[in-house]
Amino acid sequence: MNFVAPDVNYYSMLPFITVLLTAVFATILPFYVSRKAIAGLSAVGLLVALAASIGLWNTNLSSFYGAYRSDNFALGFGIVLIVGALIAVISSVDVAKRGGTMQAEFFAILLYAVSGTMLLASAHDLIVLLIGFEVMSLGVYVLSSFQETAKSEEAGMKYFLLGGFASAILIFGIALVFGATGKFGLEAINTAVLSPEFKNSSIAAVGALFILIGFGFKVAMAPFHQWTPDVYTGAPTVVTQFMSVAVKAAAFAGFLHIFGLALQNVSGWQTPLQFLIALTLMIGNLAALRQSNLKRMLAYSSVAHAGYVGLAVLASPSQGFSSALYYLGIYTLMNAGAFAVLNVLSKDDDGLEIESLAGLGSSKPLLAATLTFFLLSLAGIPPLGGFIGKYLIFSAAASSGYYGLVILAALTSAVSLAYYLRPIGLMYFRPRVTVLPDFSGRSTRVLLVVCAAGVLILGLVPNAVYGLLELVKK
Amino acid sequence: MVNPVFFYLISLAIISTAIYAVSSSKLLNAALALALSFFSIGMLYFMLGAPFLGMLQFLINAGAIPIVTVFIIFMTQSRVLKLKSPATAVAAIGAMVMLAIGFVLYISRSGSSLNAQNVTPVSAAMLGEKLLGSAETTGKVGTLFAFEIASILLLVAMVGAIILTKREGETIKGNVGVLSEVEKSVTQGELETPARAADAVARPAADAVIPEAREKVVA
Repeated sequence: MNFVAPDVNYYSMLPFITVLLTAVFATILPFYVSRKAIAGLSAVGLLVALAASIGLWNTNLSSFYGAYRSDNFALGFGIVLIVGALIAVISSVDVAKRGGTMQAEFFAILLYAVSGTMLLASAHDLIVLLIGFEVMSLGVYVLSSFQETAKSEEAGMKYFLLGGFASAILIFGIALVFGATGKFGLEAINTAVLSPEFKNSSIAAVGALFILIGFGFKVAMAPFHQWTPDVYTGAPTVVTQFMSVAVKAAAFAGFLHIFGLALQNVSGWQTPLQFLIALTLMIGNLAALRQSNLKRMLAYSSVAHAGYVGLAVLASPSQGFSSALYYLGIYTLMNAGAFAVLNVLSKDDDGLEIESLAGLGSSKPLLAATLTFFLLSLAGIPPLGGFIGKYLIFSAAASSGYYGLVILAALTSAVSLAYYLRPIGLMYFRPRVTVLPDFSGRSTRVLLVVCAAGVLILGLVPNAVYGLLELVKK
Repeated sequence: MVNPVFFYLISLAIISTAIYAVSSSKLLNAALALALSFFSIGMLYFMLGAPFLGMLQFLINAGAIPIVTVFIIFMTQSRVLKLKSPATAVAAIGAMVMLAIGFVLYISRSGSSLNAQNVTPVSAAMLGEKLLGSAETTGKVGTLFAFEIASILLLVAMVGAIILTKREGETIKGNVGVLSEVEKSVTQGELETPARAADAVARPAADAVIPEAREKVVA
C-alpha cells in the first residue's frame, strides 16, 4: 500500500485557518481572561485574516484537489465577510453599556459562523459547500437566541426549525444533482451536464429547484422570507446586523457558485428564480412601507435587497459575480452601519419606533448624519455607493436580457425611497418628542464614520475597486 | 431484481406511517411511527441493492434517532401533550400528494424520465475509497476536506448546545462567560429530583412543576 500525501496547501487556507484558530481560542480563553480581551482578540484575529486575504489576492491557490479555492471570488467575499464580522464585534462592545451583556462566548460562536461563511465562499465542492453552510447556520441559530429574553429564544427556535427544514431540502437537492451527474465538484457537474451522454436532465432540474429553495430560504427570498422579520427583530441587534450582511453575503456566494458554475446549463430553475425575485422585490419593499419599528423596517428592507442581488444570479457569471460582490460589499457597509446606529440608540434589543427618531438631527448630529447617509445609500441615491451597486447589478441583468425584472426592480426601488426617507425627514424636520439613549462609545463612532466614508468612496470612485473586481470573473 | 409487490407494500408502509407520524395527536405515537417509516425506507435500500446504506438507515435513522427522540419526549414530559393541528397536517399532506402527482404527470408528458441513467451501483468498500481516497489513487476528487471540516460542524454544535443550555445557571455578568461556569453548582439542589421516596412525598408535585420551578430559579 503506497501512501500518497493529499494535496493540502495551507497558504491558500490562511484566512480560514486564522479565523478558525481565533474562534478556538475565544472558546477556551473566557475561562481565564475578561470579555473585553476576547473582543480584542477576535478583532485582531479578523484583522489578520483580512490582511491574509488581501495578501493572497490574485494568487489563485487551491487545496484538496480544488475542493477549497482561494480565487479572487472567494477572497473578495472573504474580505466582505470579515468586514461584516468586524463591524459586529465593534458594535457588540457598546451592548454592555445598556446592561444586555454579550457573554464572552458570543465572539467564539460569531467566529465559528464566520469560518463557515468563508468555507461557503471558497468551496468548489458541494459537500464542502454544504458543511460550510451548516457551520454558518448552526452558529447563527445559537447567536439568535443568545439573549435570555423570550423574544430572542423564540427567534432562535423559529430560525432553527425552519432553517433545518430548508437545509433538508437543500441536501435533497444536492443528492439529486449528485444522482444525476455522479459528481460533487462544481465544474465537474457542469462538464457532466454538457457531455453528450448526459440523460438525467429532469433529475438535475428537480435537484436545482430544491437547491434554489434551500438558498432562497437562507438569503430570505419571498416566499421563503417568512422567518426574516421575526428572527431579525427578535435576535439581539448585533446578531441581526451580522445576519443581515455576512450570512446573506455568504449565502449569495454559495448561490452564485452553484448556479453560476455548476448548474448554469441545467434548465428549469431560471423561470422559478425570476418569479422569486419579482415576488421578493414587491413583498420586501411594500411590507417595509408599513413598518413602524426601525429594526423590523430594516429586516424587510434586507428582504428587498435579497431581490436585487438575486438579479445577479440570473445574469451571466462573468458580470453577475463581480457586480454581486461589489453590491454586497457596499451593502455590508451601509446596512451594518444602519444597524450599528440602531444598536446604540435603542435601550434594549427590541429596536425602536421610527417616530421616536424625531429631532435626532439636532440632539445627536453625528448619529443622525451617519444614519441619513446609510439610509440614502440603501435607497440608491446617486453619489453614494448603493446607487453604483444597484446600477452594476441592473446592467448585468439587463445585458442578459431580463429587462422586465430590471424595470420592476427600478420601480420598487423608487417605492423604497418612501420608507428610507421618512426617518430622515423625522430626524431633521420635526421637533424632538422622545429622548433616545446614546450608548455609542468612541470605537462605534469611529466605525460609523469609517463605514460612511467607505460608502461614499465606493460611490464616488467605483472604478478604483471595481477594476480589481473585474479579476473575479474567470 | 426488485419485486414490484414487495416494493409497493414497503412504499405503502413508508407513506402510511409517515402520514400517521404527521397527523397523530400523540407525540410518542408519532415518534414511533416515524421510526417505523425510517425502518421501511431501510428495507427499500436493501431491496435496491444498497445493503450498506440500508444498514446505516437501520442503525442511525431507525435506531439512534428515535431513541433520542423518545428520550427527549420522556424527559420533557411532553408525552402528555395533545397536539392540536391534525387538520392542517392532513391538508398539507393532501397538497403534497397533489403536487407529487402533478409533477409526475408533468414529467411523463414532457417525455424525459425520472429514472436515473448511467448509474452503476458501488460496494461499500468502493464507497469508502471514493470518499476518502486521494485523486492519485482513485482518479477522482476525494472528500477528504469535507471529512476534516465535519469536525468543525460538530464542535460548533457542541459549544452552541453547551452555551444555550448552561446559561440558565447563574452567570457573573460582564466578566466571564457561561462555559466558565461549569464548575459551579447551579441550583443549590433545587432542581434535583428527590432521590428517596420520602423526599418525593414531601414534595408531591415536584415532577409536574419542573418547568415552572426552573423558571423561578432563573428569576
